[in-house]
Amino acid sequence: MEGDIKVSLDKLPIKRLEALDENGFERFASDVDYDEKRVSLIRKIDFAWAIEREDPGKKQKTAGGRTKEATSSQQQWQWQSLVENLRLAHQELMVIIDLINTVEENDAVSVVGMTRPKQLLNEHLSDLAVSTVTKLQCFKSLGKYFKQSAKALEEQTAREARFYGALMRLQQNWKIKRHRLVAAVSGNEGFYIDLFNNPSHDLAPIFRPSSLCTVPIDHDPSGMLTINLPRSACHSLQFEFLGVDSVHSVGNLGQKKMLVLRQGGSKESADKPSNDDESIQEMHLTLRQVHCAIHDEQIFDLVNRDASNSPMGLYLTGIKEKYLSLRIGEGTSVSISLVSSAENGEIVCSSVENTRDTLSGANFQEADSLEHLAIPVQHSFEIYLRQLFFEHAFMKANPKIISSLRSQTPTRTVSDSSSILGHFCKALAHRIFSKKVLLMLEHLVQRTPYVKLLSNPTWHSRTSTWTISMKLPQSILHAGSQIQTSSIANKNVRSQFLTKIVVIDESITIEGEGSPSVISLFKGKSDAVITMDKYDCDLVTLPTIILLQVASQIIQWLHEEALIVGLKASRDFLSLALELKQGEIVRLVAHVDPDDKGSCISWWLTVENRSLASDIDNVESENRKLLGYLPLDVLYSTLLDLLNLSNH
Amino acid sequence: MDPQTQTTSMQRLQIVEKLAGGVTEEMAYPTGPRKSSLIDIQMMLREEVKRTSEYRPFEKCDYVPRLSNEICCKKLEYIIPQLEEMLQSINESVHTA
Repeated sequence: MEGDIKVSLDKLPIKRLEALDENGFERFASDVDYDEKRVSLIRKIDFAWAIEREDPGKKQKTAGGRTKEATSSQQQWQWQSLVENLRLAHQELMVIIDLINTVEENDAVSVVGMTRPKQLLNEHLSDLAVSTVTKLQCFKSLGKYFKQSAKALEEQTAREARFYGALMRLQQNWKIKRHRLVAAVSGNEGFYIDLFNNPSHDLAPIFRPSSLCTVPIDHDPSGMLTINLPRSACHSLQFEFLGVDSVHSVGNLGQKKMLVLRQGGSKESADKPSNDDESIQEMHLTLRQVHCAIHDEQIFDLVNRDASNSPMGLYLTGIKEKYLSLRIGEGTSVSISLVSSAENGEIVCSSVENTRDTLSGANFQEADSLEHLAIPVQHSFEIYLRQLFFEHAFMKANPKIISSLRSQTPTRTVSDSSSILGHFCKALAHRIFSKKVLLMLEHLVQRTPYVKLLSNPTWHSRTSTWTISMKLPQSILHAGSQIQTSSIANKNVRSQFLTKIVVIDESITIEGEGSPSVISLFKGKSDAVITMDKYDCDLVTLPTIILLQVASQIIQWLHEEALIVGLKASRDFLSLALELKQGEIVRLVAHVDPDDKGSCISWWLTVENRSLASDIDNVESENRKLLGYLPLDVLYSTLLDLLNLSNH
Repeated sequence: MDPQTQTTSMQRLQIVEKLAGGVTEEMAYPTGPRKSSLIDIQMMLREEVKRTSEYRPFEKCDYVPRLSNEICCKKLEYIIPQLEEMLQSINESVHTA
């Protein structure tokens, strides 16, 4: 037999080892049937390519070589799987949606949980990528938004910077407050300026803030700060001497003009300030004036209160809502009023007549003195009135200031809170009176050349002081010899005489030296006692008394000089008697006449012969000669001439 | 009194920190921050910043010295023309002498 021998072996029923663990466990292959194995192997073979080849082959035959169809069908074939997959997915989705709908409708069944299929790595990665991209876009859009809003904010800030810059500058000087409620309601921030002056504590209940005190702050169209002031309500304090033509008072007029201009300025648009600085300056000026107006109103309130509370010492002649008139002293009337500055600078001239008193004997410019007094002084009294009430009402809080002020004014200060107005009226009366005194003194001194008038400031509103000094020519013998021979010469060498005139309220006191005391006159000898005399007088007798004082001082001096020189001399009140040889007595007599147009002190020379008897009745042997006015050195040389005469 | 004005600076710091925390939270969202909430926080932060530099009323401003200065000013305005007149007359007398 020729041929191959084929041997087929049946599978051994021995299990085949598939794997061996490290622990020694043996893993056998699963028991699979031989047939099944074969079938599974066959299944693994992909026959798709065969099927594909067959079908297009068939189609090609049928189509007859149409390449397009072939390609399209190829493409179609390629997409076909995708389409199939999508259709299957769609089907699945429809099933799931149906399921969800059923579950939703059906109350008995509810979804417990859903499990996602575990993401493959690439799916996870793509998810991350998507979220990152969306985040990035979000950030970009946010960034754009923030940039835009920052730009808008910058513009707004620039606009507001102007406003707040101006506000800060105003804040340095004025109290700026804020209405929160107003801010919520209206568009602006509700700022306003508070101009109310807080008085000291005991006067606090009196003052209520007027409507003028709060000045609202607004924006103007360009964003800048503006303040609106009520036009009509600004008043200012005015003090006037009634009956005097007050148009001449330049000070007041100028002030009111300035006020009116400022009032109109807030409404005018003709001359706009060129820059912010100027507009702020203008606002500042306006605020200052309104502030002063408020203060003036407060002062007028106080004046009214004083006038009604303490009528002692005040003579009210008229009272109206914004007007008060008082009588000062004898014939002067003054008015204190609140004048509205909205009336174009007109000053209200009062038509109340001024009854001037006629001082007997005072025939020198009485009318003129009041005119001269009134016009320049009117403004100063306005200021003084303001100051007095301001100190009283507002500075009481600070006791140090008050005590320092009071220490300067030793007497007659405002000791209690009543009647500051009284003090003011008295000061005014004093001022008028002392002006009269001064005029009189000046007139006197004008006509007496060897006498000088000095003013001594007293820094007190109700006291004035002057000194009349008479400078004496130097004694010739004194200048020559250094040795003092006579005892009298050892005493004070006179160089001048001083007479002091003190006016307190309306009483005059004269202090002077040089009049001999009554006792020494009687004794006949002159002690070198310098007495200080004090007189009270009034305006009428003032010139006479001063002249008498001066004349007696001259006599005193001549007397002393005569004694130094060696003459026998004795003095009377206004005369000096010199005894020459042969018993002749030459007398120098002073004659005082305050109304004399030329000079007030004139001298008489009388020669007496007293050798026979000392009877005063012997008038016949007197010879009188009027010497008239003599300056002091001429008097002194007369003395020396008489000395020479007596020596020969 | 407005309760807002009584917020102390510590309380304000707290508020600002909370807002900052909110912002970072929003930023940390996986889907990105929500614009509306961020805008809200932005507005609140702005308000807080504005409030720190708010106008505080300057109550210590004293008008009494201002008034006394005004009075002094008036005195000066009154005196200066007189002094100038005096100076003028002195100058004239010096020149004529």
